[in-house]
Amino acid sequence: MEEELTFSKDEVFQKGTPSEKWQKYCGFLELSLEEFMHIQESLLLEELEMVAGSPLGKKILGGNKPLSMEDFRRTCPLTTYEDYCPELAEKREDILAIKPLYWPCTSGKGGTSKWIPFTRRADDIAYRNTVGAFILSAASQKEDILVFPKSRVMLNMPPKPYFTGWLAANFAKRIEYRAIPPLEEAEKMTFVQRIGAGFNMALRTGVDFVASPASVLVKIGETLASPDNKTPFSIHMLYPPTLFRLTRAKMRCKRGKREILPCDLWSFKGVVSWGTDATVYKKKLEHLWNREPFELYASTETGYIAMQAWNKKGMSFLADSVFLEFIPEEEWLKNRENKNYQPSSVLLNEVKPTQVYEIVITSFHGMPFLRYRLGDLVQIIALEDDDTETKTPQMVFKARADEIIDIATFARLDEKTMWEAIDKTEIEYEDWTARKEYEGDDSTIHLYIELKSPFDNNHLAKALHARLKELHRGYEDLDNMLGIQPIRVTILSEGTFLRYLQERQCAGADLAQLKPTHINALDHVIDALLRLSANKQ
Amino acid sequence: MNAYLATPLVAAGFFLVLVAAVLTRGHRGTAYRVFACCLLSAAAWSFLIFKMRTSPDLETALFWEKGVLIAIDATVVFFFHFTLIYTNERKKRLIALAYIFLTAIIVLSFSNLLLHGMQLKSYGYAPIPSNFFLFPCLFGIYFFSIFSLRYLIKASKNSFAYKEQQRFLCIIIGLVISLIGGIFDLLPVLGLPLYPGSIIGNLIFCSLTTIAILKYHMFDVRVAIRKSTTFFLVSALIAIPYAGILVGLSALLEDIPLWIYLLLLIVIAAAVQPLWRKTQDWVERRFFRDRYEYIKRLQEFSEEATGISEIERLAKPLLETLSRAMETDKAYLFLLSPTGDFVQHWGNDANDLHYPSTPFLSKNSLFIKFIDQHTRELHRRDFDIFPQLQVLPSRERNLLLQETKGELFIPLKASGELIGILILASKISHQLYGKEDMDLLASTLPQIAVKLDNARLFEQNKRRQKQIESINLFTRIISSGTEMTQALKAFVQEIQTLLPFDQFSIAIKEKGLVKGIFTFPGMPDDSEAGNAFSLQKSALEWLIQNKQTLIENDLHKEQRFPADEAHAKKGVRAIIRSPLIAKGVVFGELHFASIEPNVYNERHKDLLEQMAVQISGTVENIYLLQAERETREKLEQEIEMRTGFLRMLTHELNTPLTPILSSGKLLVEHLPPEQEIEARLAKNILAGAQTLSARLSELMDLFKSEMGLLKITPEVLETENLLQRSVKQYSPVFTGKKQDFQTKITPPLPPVLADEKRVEQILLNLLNNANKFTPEKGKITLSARTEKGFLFIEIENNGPGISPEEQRNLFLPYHHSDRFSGMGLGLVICKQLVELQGGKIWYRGQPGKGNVFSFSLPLAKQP
Repeated sequence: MEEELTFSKDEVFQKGTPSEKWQKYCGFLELSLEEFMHIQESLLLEELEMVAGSPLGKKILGGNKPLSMEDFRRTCPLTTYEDYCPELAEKREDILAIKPLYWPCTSGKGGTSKWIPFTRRADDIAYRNTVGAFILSAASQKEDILVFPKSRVMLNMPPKPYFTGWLAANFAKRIEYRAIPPLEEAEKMTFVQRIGAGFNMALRTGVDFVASPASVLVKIGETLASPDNKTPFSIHMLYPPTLFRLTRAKMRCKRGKREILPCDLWSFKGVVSWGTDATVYKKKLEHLWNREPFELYASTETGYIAMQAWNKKGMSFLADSVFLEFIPEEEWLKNRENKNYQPSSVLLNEVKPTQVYEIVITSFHGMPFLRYRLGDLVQIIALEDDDTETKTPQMVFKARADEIIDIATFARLDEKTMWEAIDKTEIEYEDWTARKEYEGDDSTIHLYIELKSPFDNNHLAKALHARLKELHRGYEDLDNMLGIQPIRVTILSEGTFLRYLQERQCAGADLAQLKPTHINALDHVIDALLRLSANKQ
Repeated sequence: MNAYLATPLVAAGFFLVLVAAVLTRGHRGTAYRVFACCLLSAAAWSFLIFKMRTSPDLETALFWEKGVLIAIDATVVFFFHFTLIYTNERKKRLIALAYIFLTAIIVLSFSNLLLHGMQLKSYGYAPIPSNFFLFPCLFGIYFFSIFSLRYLIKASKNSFAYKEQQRFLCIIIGLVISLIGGIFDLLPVLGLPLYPGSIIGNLIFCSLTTIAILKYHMFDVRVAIRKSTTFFLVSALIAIPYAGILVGLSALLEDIPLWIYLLLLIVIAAAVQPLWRKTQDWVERRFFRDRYEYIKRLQEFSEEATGISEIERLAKPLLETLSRAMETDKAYLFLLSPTGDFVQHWGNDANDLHYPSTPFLSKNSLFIKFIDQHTRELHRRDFDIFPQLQVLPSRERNLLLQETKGELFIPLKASGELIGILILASKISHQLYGKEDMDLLASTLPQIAVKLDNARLFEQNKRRQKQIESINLFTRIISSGTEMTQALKAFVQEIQTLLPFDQFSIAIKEKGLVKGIFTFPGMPDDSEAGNAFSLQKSALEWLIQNKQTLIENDLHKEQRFPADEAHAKKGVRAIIRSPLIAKGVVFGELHFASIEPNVYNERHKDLLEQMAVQISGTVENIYLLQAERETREKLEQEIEMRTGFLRMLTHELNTPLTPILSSGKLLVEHLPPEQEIEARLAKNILAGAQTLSARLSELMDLFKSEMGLLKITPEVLETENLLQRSVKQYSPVFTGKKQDFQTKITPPLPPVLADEKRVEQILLNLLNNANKFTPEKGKITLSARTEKGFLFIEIENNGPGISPEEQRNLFLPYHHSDRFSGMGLGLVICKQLVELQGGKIWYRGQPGKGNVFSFSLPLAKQP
């Protein structure tokens, strides 16, 4: 049984002036690079002070106690979750520096779960950054605070024991907000049920903010906007606010001579999203919800790492979440080729624009991770943002490090590129997955896709090939210089992905394992898809 | 147009100006838009009043009065809505109710249910209210006004920002004035003979509210009240006597002359300033009560502090006065130390007047950097707001917020540089520090900061001077004696006055080991009883890598190095180590240890580093000197031992050889020629003994040369004679092998500075070699010449020559030609002997082309 977690109310949020709120939640945008690095070093030294003496810290550091940042980077090896096993997998608290507040989990390799000890202080920081994300998602300029107590927030996020579930619950203990649906009810529902209940409730109450994976919003939006969508009459529609909302939406779409769009029903102040699909679906979300999604970069191991400013361009890093190191792409590639090669890293004040880096983090606030490879690739797009007067480097999320398809070293295709290419073919699809395969000595990119309407796979392959050439220069060179056209397409039968989802649910799989990854799904996943596709046929 | 008519028109115009100001400055927020609607309603209200007052008849007046009623209600409802938004009260139902009320009033106004008609009063038209006017109309107006007041008061109490409190207070005062003005409008309607005053009240209310919501730097309401009170009192004190005098004079005189007016004006002008000061003092005393004395004292502190150079004499009274003036019970002062950190602090709390002298905040602290750049003071809540302060390490945060219970953090700057921080705890009354408090601090602290900085610098200089004197003394002590132990013992006695310690040692890096070379008071340092231990993972290794002083505050809490465990077991708690550096390389460490924890701070670090710099060179020299002496002593012992052995060997070998030699000689001399065999045997014995004696001699010479004991006695030597003697001595040998021995000596040869016996030995050795290595009937030539201050002697032969490989080993011991016996020592000894006499020896030759051995000797200097 969970202990009752006690939190004090956030006075700044309740009573602070707009200027004070902006400073507290969004002040990270105004740090100079020097201040940023100073904070990083200061918190790193404090972290080392805390964890170096713990049993887990000693295990990772080999008994050393680094006394400086340089010493630490020189003596501490790069780590992955496996280095913290079996202690963290067994949720052992005796080996940690600080007793955690809770243990959220996230998906690991091969369907396992990774348990992460989250400390009180880290939770405070995550809470603060959550408020900051909502503020920035709605702001159109500096100090534009449109988040108030009792704002209506729809949280389409995985519940406990996932990190987002804990965050939502502890959020409610610090500030007043109206969760849609209420948290107590939501915790008893499945993820899908929760989304449905949320939108139903939103018809009555309205919504100010939504935090959701972009794909869910696109799905809901497309369903609502679909001409085939015939929502049956319900007595709840007579509820005055609902009736008003529906009537207003009807009038708007009649005026616009189009089908009803979700933005006709709700006027979101802000849409908070994350992951690759937020970028891919940006334009669709703007069309459906009349709101550009606000993007952030976070993980269970770290909390928030970076988020956009109000202008919704690049993401700015947060100085007090984790200590950041960046492995340059060439070093990452060398390590990819030779696992024994120790890649070097640079700090934030040493990154270069347009370069791609693998991100390495060291926790703050008593969390246990030291030089931990998250497995993500990010790209630095600029060293500053003149629009927002942010003086720290700007990043975009590039890809998962293990979700890259490499063809002849010319083309390294990530999920985002594939997704954009598929979207640009304008075919209607349900879902897809792609991986590298071999035909003899030749490597290919095999796309497994479920379409909504019949299409010839060769035509699709050609169309995809053309789109990839437009999007990716390296891919274009494959064709122009080597005459290689590596795309292969297998069209899966209707309902394959749904059957896969159901099969996985029946098998009791983790939420994150219910769908195949888009890139480099494992063999058994592809085999399952093919089997389910064949069974239907 | 009189005031009665002009006032509402002017008011309407003024309200429109306020509307423009609100929409221009704050048009984006909903609150501002709603308030703008309130102001528009107020403008409409004023304009409609004007129209009502200028109506030609009662009917027209009634028409306009209905509009006035609607405008009043609209003003109240819009203001209520504005209040709810401004105070973040989300009462949607109440807002809906308010607008429903307004709608009802609008509808009712067009009927005659609210007003029966208009009547004519002394001042103008007045409405005749119906029962509906009192309820819901009047009730509604006051209901929403009172509720607005309620929410404003609640927001003011809950606000934790002083500026916000002042804003709410301002609006509240305005609203109260408006309500009072409204009563002045209502009472005449109800029949009382009063002048309607709502317009005036409205003007004040709208002005105050507009200022409150738009003006960033809000004036302090309390200051405004105080100044207003002073103004009114002074005005009254001047006006009453002035009027009284004029009334009195007018009763006595028919015509008051002009000069009396002028005289009174002059008196008033002269009296205004002192009267104002006195009145202000009196008012402030009444407002501040006990605090007043301390405020005055604080303002005068800066002048009183002139001439005080001791920090403690400044800090203590300053903090006491400050605490009283600011109505707090805790105040702390932190000042910049010589190392750049903020280490010294005083508190006025009786329990913690003098903290232990441990570092407070590093110069690199985020808090210090932030407060230095921040243009104003910091409040406690700022630690929850500014990102730079949110992430302070726990230790700093606890120190600033928990231990000192700081509420206000004020940077003290002198010449633009941060020299200190003043921390005030919260007020005893738990009120917030207001603008007045900030103004008081702003007016007094800059000068006090300068005084404190001067005192700090004065003390710093004093301390520095003492340090320099001490360090110079240490250096003199260390440099005075070559016996390191004595010098260091004297050093230790002196340093005990500046640095607390129970143990002191010096350790040196020596071939990958850490070796203790001095300890005091004789307890072992990291090395046990003089034994060295590995450099790896040791404190000295850390010092070598980092080249800076290291403080370990408490070994019971943290042990960084393997040796710390042993220290802790011996009772050591705190250690401070400083690297000894010579020529940029760390070669050792100074190590002070104490049985008390947390005794070492940045000041000690600074002192130790300076000391280490001063004495590093000297310590290294002394150490090297000592090492050299030890080596030399060992060497001398070694030499002594070998010499003894040599002597013993010589004696043991010579003892049996001597009788053999002498007996052999006698035998050869005395045997008759007819005993040929016996004679030959005797010659063989003698030759053998002589050879053995010669070999022994060579061996002895070699040993001596290796030990550096081979001695020569140079004297001025006539070379010619020596050469001739040698030639004569050795010629028969050459004749025996039918060798052609020639000399090429061109007299006169100048004298050389050499040892005669040794030169003879060299010549004989070379001639012997020439004889050995030249075949029968070969040619041998001895030549001598002088050149460039040297005598060159060459012995040439036409022997088979020596290969280049053999040439390399020619002058090395134990190398000899396989063709002949011998130990191969002759040329080695010749080389030693030649070089000892200041000359050189060398070989020239090739296989099949003969040999030339040459050596040089320095010519004797001519007087």
